[in-house]
Amino acid sequence: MSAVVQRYAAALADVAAERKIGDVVRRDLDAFAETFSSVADLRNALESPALNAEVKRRVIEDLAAAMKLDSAVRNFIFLLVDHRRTELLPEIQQAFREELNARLGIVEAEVTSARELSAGEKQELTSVLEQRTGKKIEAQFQEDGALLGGAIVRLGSTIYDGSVRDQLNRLREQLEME
Amino acid sequence: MANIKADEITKILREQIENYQQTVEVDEIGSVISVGDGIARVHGLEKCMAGEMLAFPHDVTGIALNLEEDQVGVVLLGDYTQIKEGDIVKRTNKIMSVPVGDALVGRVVDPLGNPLDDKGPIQTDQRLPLERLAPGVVDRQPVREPIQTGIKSIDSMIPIGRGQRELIIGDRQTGKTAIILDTIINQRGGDMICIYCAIGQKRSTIAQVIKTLTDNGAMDYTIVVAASATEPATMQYIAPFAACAMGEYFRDSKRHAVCFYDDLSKHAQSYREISLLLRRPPGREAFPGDVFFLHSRLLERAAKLNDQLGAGSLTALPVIETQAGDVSAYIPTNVISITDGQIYLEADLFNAGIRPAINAGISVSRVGGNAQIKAMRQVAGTLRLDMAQYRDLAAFAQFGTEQLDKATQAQLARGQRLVEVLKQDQYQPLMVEQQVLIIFAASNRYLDDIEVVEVRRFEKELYPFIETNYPNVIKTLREKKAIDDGLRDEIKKALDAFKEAFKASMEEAKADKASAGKTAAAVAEATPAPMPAEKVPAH
Repeated sequence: MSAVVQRYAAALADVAAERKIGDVVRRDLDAFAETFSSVADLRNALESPALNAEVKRRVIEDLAAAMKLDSAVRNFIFLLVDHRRTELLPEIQQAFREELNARLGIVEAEVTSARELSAGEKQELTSVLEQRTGKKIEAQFQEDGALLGGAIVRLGSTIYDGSVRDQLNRLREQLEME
Repeated sequence: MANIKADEITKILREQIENYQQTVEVDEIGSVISVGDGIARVHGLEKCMAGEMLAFPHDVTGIALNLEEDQVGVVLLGDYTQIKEGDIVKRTNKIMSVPVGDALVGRVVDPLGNPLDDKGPIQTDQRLPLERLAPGVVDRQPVREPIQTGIKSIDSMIPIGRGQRELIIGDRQTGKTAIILDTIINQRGGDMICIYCAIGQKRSTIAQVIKTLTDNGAMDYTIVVAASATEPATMQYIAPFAACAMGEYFRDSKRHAVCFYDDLSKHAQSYREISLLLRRPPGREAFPGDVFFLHSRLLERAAKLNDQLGAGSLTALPVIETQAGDVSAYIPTNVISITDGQIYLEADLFNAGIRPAINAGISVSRVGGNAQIKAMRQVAGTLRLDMAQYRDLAAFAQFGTEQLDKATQAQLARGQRLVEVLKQDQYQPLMVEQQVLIIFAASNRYLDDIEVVEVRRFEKELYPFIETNYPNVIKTLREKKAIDDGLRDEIKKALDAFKEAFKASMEEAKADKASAGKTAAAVAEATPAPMPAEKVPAH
């Protein structure tokens, strides 16, 4: 992720944290990003150098009013369009979420398991991870039969691998060494 | 793998199953953003250390060289063509290291310590990091023991001590590798471990070197670390550091080792390649700014340790190849200023038949003089001076010597004989006692009335004569390592006796020649025979 993305995301997070509207900003930013990527006309209009800034500004204002976007998000979109950084929007979205999570002490966890976990198991796993990291865990669950058994938890760039596949791989390495 | 027993496998499996609950592996990972030219950029790996080994898929290893804000620049070792974007990279928490130990002696290995010969796996479990801090000031002591190269002109005028760093510099095809090979061969029967590190050379040349060493029985105490020109720049870049780590093992275990880096110009080029690919800013001749530090941190690790640390030593003999004699290029000046002296080889001398083609005028050894044995110091004291004076006069007297006064003519004649004495065939290293004898003869005017073309024959026949008729001379010299009055008289007596016999044989030969007329054989004898030096694998 480039430094530019980090800076835009950090600036937006500053504003959101100051006014304590993190969740609102996140929701509105996601909503706008969704619209922006799915409606080609809007993208063309905002990225076109043929339209002058005043026209773009009016388009965004009308759109923000229709979507009931928060003023912070609206202003942020003005800024992006003025600076011609709209193509970075998906990355900024991601970086903003991470930045916000970091400030709130939330860690995103990606859990892959061999079979679907029950609600109780998910709850238990999350609380163990929370104890371990001392932070609030926001977990996403998915299944992958190739693991054979067990689960893999990914926290940022750290991986906890407790899958049967990994155990077998390591056993093979160990046997090959001898 | 082949001889593992079935019950061992069962045991391991059982242990694994019993401990199954406890083994959740924690890894730090990143993912490959881009890969190419042996360089990968990796996102993630936030806690990665500089110089850390990273595990890529397909058993490829990498070294983290650039730690940036949002990515890590990694150089890849091994077959990087299978790595693709998005691949997972794992941290290993290990700094790059190579296997070291006695098991490596006699082997040919690549810079990662994998065997390249057919002698099976290397049985050692000791490893040392590639990059290590050089011993500090307190850990060292001045160089005090010599390392004998067996080459007359070096051991007499440019002596090298154990723990010294002496640069061998010269154009291509001037016999740089030949000096190294002679030095290695001369260590036979001694306590020195030799480590020859080939960087960016042709595989055929490396094979030739190994064959020469094997034929001369020198592989018994030699390690060859080879990164040929076909290996990626990364391998060439780490090769001298690997060789140095292997040498440090001997240095730290109270023994003596010598590392030959052949050559550091190629090493600098491979480092330049890596640096440019990692987008570090280029400086002079497009080398990165830290190319000086690259070589100084390598050569600083050569040291003579103090007695508390066991007095081991690691000597470094780096090689630099100059382009058309240009010693003021970037890399040569760097390495000249790092080392404790240089042996300068010249193409002109080489072509004039003076081999080894050492230019004694600008070759120096800044610390080795202390390490020379006393006998050699005694006889070689005036040698450098005589040679310097001869060179001045020779330039002056190029257009004829008839009008010169007697003293000058004598000096010229002397110089010509000294030059002859310092010539030496390849793969014929001499014991230091033999060197002392011939230089003693030269500086005590024993050669002044011998024809210049006969000097080499004089030398050749002198050694066996002394050995059979005056074995005591060599023996006393070896024991005392110095020439006192008694020994001086003995040497003189031996030389007098030999000279008499030699002169008689010379008269005889002259008579023969006169009777046989000017045959082709006589002409052939008078011209110096072509030396095997021409077959030297040049680099």
